[in-house]
Formats: sequence, C-alpha cells, structure tokens
Amino acid sequence: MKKGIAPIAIAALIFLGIVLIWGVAIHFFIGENASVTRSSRETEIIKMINEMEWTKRLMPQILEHSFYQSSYSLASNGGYFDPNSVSSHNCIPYWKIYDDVFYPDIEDNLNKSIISYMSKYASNLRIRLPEYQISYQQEDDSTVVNIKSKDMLEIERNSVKVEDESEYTVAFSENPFQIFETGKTDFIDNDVILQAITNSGTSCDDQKGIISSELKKLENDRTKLAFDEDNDIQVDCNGHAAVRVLVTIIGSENKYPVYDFLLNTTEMRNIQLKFYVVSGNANLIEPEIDQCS
Amino acid sequence: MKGVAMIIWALLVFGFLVIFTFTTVFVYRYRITIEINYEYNYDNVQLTLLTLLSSTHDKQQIGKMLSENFYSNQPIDMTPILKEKLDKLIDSKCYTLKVSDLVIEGSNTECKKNYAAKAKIVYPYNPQNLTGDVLLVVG
Repeated sequence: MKKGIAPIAIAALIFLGIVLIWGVAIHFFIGENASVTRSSRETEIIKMINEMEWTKRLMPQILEHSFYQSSYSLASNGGYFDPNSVSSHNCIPYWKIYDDVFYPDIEDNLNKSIISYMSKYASNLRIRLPEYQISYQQEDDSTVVNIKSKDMLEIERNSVKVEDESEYTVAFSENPFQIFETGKTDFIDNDVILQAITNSGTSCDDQKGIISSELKKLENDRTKLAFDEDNDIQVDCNGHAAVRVLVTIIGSENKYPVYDFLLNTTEMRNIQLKFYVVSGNANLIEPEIDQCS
Repeated sequence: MKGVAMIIWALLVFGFLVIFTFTTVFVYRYRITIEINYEYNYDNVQLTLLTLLSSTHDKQQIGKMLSENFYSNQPIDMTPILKEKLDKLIDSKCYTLKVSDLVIEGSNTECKKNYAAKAKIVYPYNPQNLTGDVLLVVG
C-alpha cells in the first residue's frame, strides 16, 4: 500500500460508519416522531371525549337552570321575551287595554328564552349547541321538557372536534304554563276587573272606595292586585269607571335559584307572573307606556 | 508516526460521535417515556375527577350537589361525602380537591402531588358567575 492511502481509507471507513450510525439514528427519530405525534393526538382526543362525556352530563343541569330562569324572567316580564315588543310600563306589559288584548305566545317566548340562557352557558363552557326544537308535556303541577336537534353537540379545541347526539328530557316540578292560563282566564276571558266595576254599582259617592273593595275581594293567596286608588281608579259619576291594576300571580310555593335583573342577585325565589290590565266601561284612564331598558 | 496519530484522532472522533448519538437517542426516548407517563397519569386523574362528579349520593349527582350547594340558603357540609368517595377512588390518599372556597386534603399529606385535572360545574343563572371549576391534584 502506498504511503498516504491508508489514512484516506481509514478516514473513508470512519466517514461511512458515521453516515451509517446517523442514518439509523435519523430513521429512529423519524419513526419515533410519527408515533409521538400520533400519541399526542390520541391523548388530545381522549381528553376531548372525556370533556364531551362530562358536558353531556352537564346538559340536563344547563337545561334545568335555563328552564327555571326562563320561567322566572318570562313571568316577571308578563310572558314577553322582549317587553318592548308590546305596550309596557316599568318593563311590565299590558295584557289588556280596554278592548285591546295583548296576550303573549307563551310557548314561543319560553323557547326563545330557554335557548338564550342555554347559549350563555354554552359560550362559557366553549361548546357549540345545535339548533334545538323544544317540546313540553304538561301535567298539573309539573312539566317535562324535551330538547332535540338533528344536528350534533360540538366541542372543538386545538383543531380537534368531537361531536355527539344531543337530546335531553328533564322533568320539572313546576308548570309555568298554568300560571299564565290562570291570568288569561281571570283577567282577559272573564275580565274580573270589569265585573268588579259592575258590582260597584253606579253610585257616585265613594264609588272609588267601593271599586277598591271589590278589587280587594279578587285577591287570594296566589293573586295580588296593586293599584293607587287616586290615580288608577277613575269614575265620571255618569255610571262610567275605569281601572288600571298591576296583577301578580304566584305560581307555586316552590322556590328555585334564579337571578333577578332588578336586584342583581341569584336567590331562591318563586315564580311570579306580573302584568297590567286596564279595564272599564269607558276610556277614562290613559295608560302610561314607556320603554324598558 | 503521523499516520498513527491521525488514526487515533479519527477513532476518537468516531467514538465521540457514537456515544453522542446513542446518548441523544436514549435521552430522547427517556423524555418521551416521562411525557407519556405524565399524560397517562393526567388522563387517570381527569377520569377520577369525572367519576367523582358523576357519582351519586342519595340519588343526587355529586357535581349537581356542589353546584346547588353554592347558592343554597342552607348549604350542607359536603366534606365527609367527598372525602369518603375520594379515599375509595385514590389508593395513595394523596390528593387535594378545590371547589370554590372548599378545600379537601387527603390523609396522606407527606406526598408530592404532580398531576392536576380540572372540570367545570354549572351554577344557577347569574351573568357574573355561570360556571365554576373543580380542581383535583393527585400524587
């Protein structure tokens, strides 16, 4: 072997050895990287599935809180989702102004309200709710609510999306429809206020006082009437009278943890329906109407 | 002599590269094992937390009880209920559970708690406070 060739040959062998070792190492890193990527995706998916499973358990609670809150808010707003969509005073709508009746579509407004509260919970939990159809099965003092959708409930984090079917049925120990029906029957269909005016007779002396006591007779444990004898009862001494009352009907003795938007607190409260009625045999009262903010 | 020195030098470089390569592979593999082990334990803690919240006491879900207790006029002391369930779920008895102001420690207080998992519970409607966190740290 010529002098100088041996070191070159050894260097070439060492170089080949290094290339071989690095080849094996790079092959290992590439393979390992693929399995690490797969493993981290799997971990992410497992986390998401766990989160979805827990979210599915939270959904009936979200529906429960939304149902009670909607029943409370809707009843406080006289059955209107937006009190400004009807003539109202201090955010309480008029159900009747003489012959004009403004009775709300309770089911439609309750649906809107439940969806609105559920969406707030969903946004807080970073979940995407599908468009739900809500149906109600009413019993005497209870309601069974079913929500379902043809679309899926979705959770998306770091480009991983998990979907699942979304149908829930929850039974509640409150029937919010009943309270509205009571209000409608008494104050619209039977117009007990006009009956009270008729029962007061036509005597001009103290007719306001007589109407006032007739109105008091309409009150019971569940129904309360608020009015100011000087301003809310008007008579013309020609046999005509008109009355404006704030009606409050208490749903049941059951209390639920609900938020009051005037008091800004969440406390155990019972559901109370509130609405105004203006009734009489002459238009002697001009109802106060203002915007609800 | 110059050729022999060159061979020794080349063998040293070769040897260093071999050791460096295998050490790198070993360290990389070791780190991955630690990370996978962490994820595995984290998943277990998360499952433990969800099992706890999904479990029931007197036919009522624990998660719901915690949520309702938050706004109740007469809140019940949930510490013994939660402690009993956690002791059954976590063999090491090395844990800390935090829900709002309630903190429950496992009987094993000398251990190092490495794995934490968090789950949300929903509160009755309040625009300022719709959800709360339940945190479980396990050793």
